[in-house]
Parts: sequence; structure tokens; C-alpha cells
Amino acid sequence: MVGAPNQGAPDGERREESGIPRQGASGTGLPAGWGPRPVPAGGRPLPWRQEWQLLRLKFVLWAHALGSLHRASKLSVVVIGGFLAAYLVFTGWIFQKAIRFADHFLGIGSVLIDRMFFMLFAFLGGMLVLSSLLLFSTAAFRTRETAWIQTLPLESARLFRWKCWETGIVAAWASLFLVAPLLFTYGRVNSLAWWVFPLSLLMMLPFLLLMTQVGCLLGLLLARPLQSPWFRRCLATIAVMGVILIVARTRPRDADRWTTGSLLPLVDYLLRQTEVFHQPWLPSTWAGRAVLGMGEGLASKAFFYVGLLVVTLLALENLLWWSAEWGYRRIWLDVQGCRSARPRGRVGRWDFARWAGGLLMVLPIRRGIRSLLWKDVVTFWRDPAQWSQAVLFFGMLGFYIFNLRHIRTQLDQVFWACLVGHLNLVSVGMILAAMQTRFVFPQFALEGRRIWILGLAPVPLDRLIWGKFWLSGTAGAVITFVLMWFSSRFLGAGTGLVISTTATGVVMSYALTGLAVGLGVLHPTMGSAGHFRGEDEDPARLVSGFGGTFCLVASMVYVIGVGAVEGYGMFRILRRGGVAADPWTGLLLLLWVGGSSWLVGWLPMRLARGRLVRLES
Amino acid sequence: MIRAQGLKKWFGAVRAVDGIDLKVEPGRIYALLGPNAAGKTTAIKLCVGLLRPDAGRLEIAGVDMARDPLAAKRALAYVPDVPFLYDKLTPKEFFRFLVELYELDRTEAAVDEALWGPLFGLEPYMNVLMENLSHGTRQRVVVVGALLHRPLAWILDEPMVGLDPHYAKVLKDTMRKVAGAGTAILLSTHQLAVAEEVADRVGILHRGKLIAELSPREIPAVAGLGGALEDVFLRMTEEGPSERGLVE
Repeated sequence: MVGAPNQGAPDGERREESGIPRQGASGTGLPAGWGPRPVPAGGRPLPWRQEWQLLRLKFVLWAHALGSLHRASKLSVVVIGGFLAAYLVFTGWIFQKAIRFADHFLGIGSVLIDRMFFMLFAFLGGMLVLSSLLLFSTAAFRTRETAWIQTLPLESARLFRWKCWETGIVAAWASLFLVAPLLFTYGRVNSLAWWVFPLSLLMMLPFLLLMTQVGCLLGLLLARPLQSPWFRRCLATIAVMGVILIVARTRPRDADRWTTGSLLPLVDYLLRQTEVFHQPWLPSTWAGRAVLGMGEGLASKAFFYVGLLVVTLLALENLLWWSAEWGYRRIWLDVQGCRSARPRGRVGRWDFARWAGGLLMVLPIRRGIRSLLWKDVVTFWRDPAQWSQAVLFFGMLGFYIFNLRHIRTQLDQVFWACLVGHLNLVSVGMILAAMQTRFVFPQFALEGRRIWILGLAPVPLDRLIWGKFWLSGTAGAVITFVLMWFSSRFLGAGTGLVISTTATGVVMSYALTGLAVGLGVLHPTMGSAGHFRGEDEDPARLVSGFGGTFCLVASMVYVIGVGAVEGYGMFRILRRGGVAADPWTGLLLLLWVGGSSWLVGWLPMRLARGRLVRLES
Repeated sequence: MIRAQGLKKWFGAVRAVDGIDLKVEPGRIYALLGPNAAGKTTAIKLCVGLLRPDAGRLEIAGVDMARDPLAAKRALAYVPDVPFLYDKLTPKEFFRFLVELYELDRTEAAVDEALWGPLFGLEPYMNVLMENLSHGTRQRVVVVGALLHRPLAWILDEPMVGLDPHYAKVLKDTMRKVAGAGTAILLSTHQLAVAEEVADRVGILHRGKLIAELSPREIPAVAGLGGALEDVFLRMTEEGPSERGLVE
């Protein structure tokens, strides 16, 4: 150590020279009496005062967000509003059909509807627990806002509770929106008074909040263990083994017996299989009974179950409060320590980047473009938060398709083969649309501040977007090809149907990629004057903006349009005995799929290219 | 007063902060200098309670941060290197939020806001959403926000980043004034001129260790006749790159 011993002694002499006194404000240019405020003695803040301030803050933030709507593009408001309205109308219509169908089913309609409600609420509850766990883990441990608030005189337990409520409100609001059409339709089918609908929504709240708070509690308990790579590997291993076990144990039922003989064994089987969702200790059962009670005009039964939910929620709140006081700050500090330590992990000798570089070498493309593609692949690979969502979605879809092998006996009719085959195509297309919007759309905007690297590189920007197009499109096409090929084979579809759905899936992948890449350049990165804004580094935020929403809506419309028209066309062709018997329908179909895909994929790419060329010129 | 005793923070095998002892008396400015990855930001995060030390103790205004973090944070103000601000708030609303959260006297807070706001050139932006402000203006908002509760201890991490020369000067003057009124200030910087200009004491951090503590008066003696802080700094931190770049 050099210099004076570290006694912290002020350098008084220098102070006198500079004219700044030791204490007090006189001579400093500050108003008389200005000085640091002593820490108040005692000191816990008044109960609820800080929560009130945080709530007030959120209201102001929401008010500004709403206020900025009128400054937002009219087209944006119309697209998002139209999408929401279309969801409500469409799902309301579907639910109405389903409830009416189930209601008249062999005189056991009410039992089936009960079970459907219990199942729906059980799955909704499970999804809420999972989504709140993820939301809470991010909000309570990873955001810069939380880190900043940790430096303010706000009790950690209160901050924790605030994050739980915030998570609860966000997740519950979304779930209420999802189930609102069902509750409305149920009331309508049962000819209930109009006020039962808002009351049912209100009655759902304790259940939704209860599930979200369970997710928050799990988020708190898992936050520290999840920082350990060993724990994460264990979880992943258990998940993979669980999937393998389920796949191995899934056996086809004797469907022919049910479809040819009496339906009673089928009903009995269905009721036995769904018994698990009817357990009296499940909160989802209480919620289901409350809503069904209102539908049956049994208000006292409904309120009993709502009361049960409220009491359980309050008990859980107590547990959460105790947990927060016990360990939120401790766990938060542990997590920050682990996160700060993580970047020190060096890239290993067998890192994927080396492999990716080698694999890309075989592509006959320019070195500059190859380098950019390598960068995209490696950064995507090193961000598990990105690819784990894709694995989850496509994994679920793969699981569903793998199970299709058990229903092939029922698909010997052309109608059902076409219907199920094209429903598969639409399912794959929808997930592809979501994935391309989530991952491909923000790619160009994410270059953001890094655009100087690309902008100054001797590679034209339009070539860059074509590189992204081919890379993402081909990755999507490979996954689509595998899923569509196997689903069609499992269904036992004829060669014509297998080829048409698989080829359409591959074409869809490139079209959706073109749309996502093109809109990604056209909308969020460019200001009205054609300058890069490029400041947003958060892909989720980019996706939830106008461009992302528009991309998703347009992708879905395209997927449904192509799937529906092709499904009908193929049904017509196959019913008449093949393309040779009905060549005109085949040609029209080809034109429709090819033309719409070309338009959806090529046009945004063309416009984006034009914009980039103008930018560079 | 800010007092750190034997603060240590290890990230695996890397000693990010390795036994720092420092004391900043009320009315004094202490500058923590260091090359990239010396452990300055980790040290600052330990001092404001954003990381838990593996060993050692930290006191803010006589309050142990580990024992009573709430009281310690009441006395503390922090200006991070990359400040967080709510995009959908205006500076005025942000200040009001802080006033209520710290339970300050509203009249006094309004006086302080009227004092610091114009000084940092925030008047034209008071009702503009934060998302529309430049990086430098946002930095100024954070500085003013930090001063509203008249902290006993003020900790700043690379505060000059993003400020133009005018407001960098204003901030340096403000630090002197606030310290003059009795606040203990700890700032981290890699700008030698800033440290030389405002600090009463300069600590040189290298590989997590405080390798030197000097007062500006001592600099020429240590650096050699006519030398400057730059000479001292370069001589003390001169070595191979080894772990540089891993810890900041």
C-alpha cells in the first residue's frame, strides 16, 4: 500500500485551502440550512404507505401508456383492437357450438360440461402457476427496476409482496380475458341474467390469484437452486425422462369397440379418466363448482366455494408474507451474486461456436455473410431463454404428433384424413408463426446499437437480411418437414396428402420467415425519416409492439387461409380420385398456395430491401 | 460516513473484491480509481447493498448494512453507471415518487427540486416522458433524484459517463457543495482528472485490492517531482493483461 495509512482522515489543510468548511452549508452556495438529513430513529414505514406509493406509481405509468395510445399509429390500434375483438367473437362462437353439442350428448350433457369445466380450470390453474413462476422470477430477481428499488428505503418484504401482486394482476388479467368468452357463452346457453357474467368473472378472481401466488412462492423457493447448473441439469433430466416415460406408456385404446358398439363404455372411460380433475381438494374444482353453481342458480353453493378460495388465498398470503420476511432479500442477494459470477464462465474447448463455424463453412456463401450467420447462430445458442421456448413449443407439438399414430384406425375416410392432416398443418404453421414472430422479427432491431458493426462492414445490408431469411427459413423448414412428414405418416395418409401437406409446410416456413424478416426491418427499427432508432435491446418488448403484433396477426391469417383452402381443395381432389381426375382444382390450389406464400414472404422482403438500399445510398 | 472493513467478494476463483478497507468521513469525497475490471463496480455494489459481501462489514452513517439495511438505505443515495428510470414517467412524477417513498416533507422537497432542477438544466424536461430524454438528461435526472432526500452518504458509479462538459462541471461542483454541507461521497471513476479535481482522497483499486490511498497533496511526492496522478496510477497498475476484462 502506498500513501498514508488508511485512516480516512480528511485532508484538513486542503479543505481550508479550497474554502470548503467541514460541516454546514454556509459558503458552499447552498441555501442556509441545507445539509444531510439524519436517519430517523426507529423506523418502519407506516403500514401500506409504501405499497400505496408503488400502486400510485403503477397507475401513473399505466395512465401514460394509455395516454400514448392516441399518439400511436391508428393502424396499430385498429390491428390490435381488431385482433382482440376477433378472439372474443371467434372463441365465443366455438364455445357456444361445443357447449350446445355437449349439452345434447346422450342425456349426459351436464356431466360432460361439468368435467370440461373442471378440466379447463385445472389446466388453466397449472398454466397460471407456471407462467407466474416465470413472470415472478424475472420481475423479482432479474429486472433493473428491482435492483434499483433495492437501493431505496423500501422493506424487502414489501417489495416482494408488491412483485407477487404485480405478477398476480398481470397473469390473472390475461387469464380472465382468455376465459371470458367461455363464461359469457355458458351464461347465454343457460339463459342466465346478464349480471351473472360479470359476477362469474369476479368469482374467478380468487382462484386465479391463488394460482399466481402459488407460482410466486415456487419462484421464491426455486430462485436460489435454479442458479446451480447441477440443479438445472437435474431438472432437465427429470423432464426428459418424464416425457420418455409418458411416450412409452401411452397405449392406443380400443377405439373400434367404442365406435361400433354402445357408447356407454366410452362415456364410462371418459368419466374415469377425468376423475382426477374432480378431486374435492383441488382449487380448480372449487372454482368450477362456483361457476357451475351460478349457472344452476345455486348462489349459496357458488359463494361457499368462492369463500373457500378466498380463505385459502388469505392463508397463502400469510405464508408468503412470512417467507418474504424470512428470506427474500437473502435470496435476492444470493441470486445477484450468482448472476454476477456467471459471465466469468469461459467458453469451453468444445463449445458449439466451433461446431457452428465448421458447419457453416460448407455453405457456398460469401465469407461476410457466413460470419453474420455464424454470429446469429452462436448468440442464439448461448441464450437459453431464447431457444428453450422454441424447444418447449415444438416439443409439445412433436409429442402430440407422436401420439397421432394411435388414431389412424379412425381416419380411413377421405374427409377425416384431409381434416386432421390440414389441422396438423395449421397447428405447425401457427407455432411456426409464433416462433418466427418471437425470434426472427426482432433480429434486425436487436442489432440496435450494434448496427455500427454491420453498417460499416463491407457487406450490403440487404444481403444481410437475405442471409437471415435463408438461415431462419431453412431452420424452420427442416423442423416443419420432420413434423409434417411424420404426422402424415402416422395418420396413414396417402402419398398425395403427405406430399402436399409437407411441401406446403416447407413453403409456409419460408413465407413466414420472409414476413418476419421484412416487417422486422420495416417497422421497429426505422423512424419516420428512415433513420435507425435501434435503441431497444429487449426482444419481448419489440415483439409486443405494433410491428410484432401485426406480424403475428398477418402470419396467422396467412396460415389459416392456406390451411383451410388447401384442406378443402385436397378433399375435393381426393374424393374425385386424384389430381388426374380434377386437374383444375389442383392447379388453382397450387396457384393459391404459391401465390399467397410469394406475396406474404416476398413483398415485405422487397420493401425492406428497398428501405435498406435507400438508407445506404 | 461510509465505512467498509475487510470487504471481500469472490466469484468462484476470481477475487473481485479482496479485503477492502475504506472510510469516507462526512464532508469528504473519496474517489475509487482503477483500470477496467479492477473491481470498482463490484465494490460499489457491495457498498450500496446490491451484493452481499463474502466477508467484511459495511456501515452507512453508522448503521450496519447487513443488520439494518432499511435504515442504511435511508441515509444513502446511489447513482449507478447505467441508471434505471421509468420510461413512462416524467422527471417531475419521478421526483414526486421519491419524495413520497422517502416520506420527505413536501415543501422542503419542492425547495430542493427547485434548487437542483434548474442547476442541472432539467426545467424544460420536467413534464417530458423519460423515454424521450437523452442519456445525459436521464443521468441528470438520476443525480437530482438522488439529492432530494439530502443523503448522509452519496455513492456514484462512473457518474460522468454521458454528461457533456458543462454538466460534468456542474456535477463536480455539486459534489463539492454537497460534501461541504456534510455528506460523505464515494465515487468510482476511471477518469483521473475527475478524481484529481474533486476528491479529498483517492484509492487505487487493482485486481480487487486497494493498492494505494493518497490525498492529492501526496501525489507529486509519490509520482516523483512534478508528477501527476496519471503517473502514479500507471506505475501501480502496470502489468500484463491476465484477468483484465473479467470483473468490473
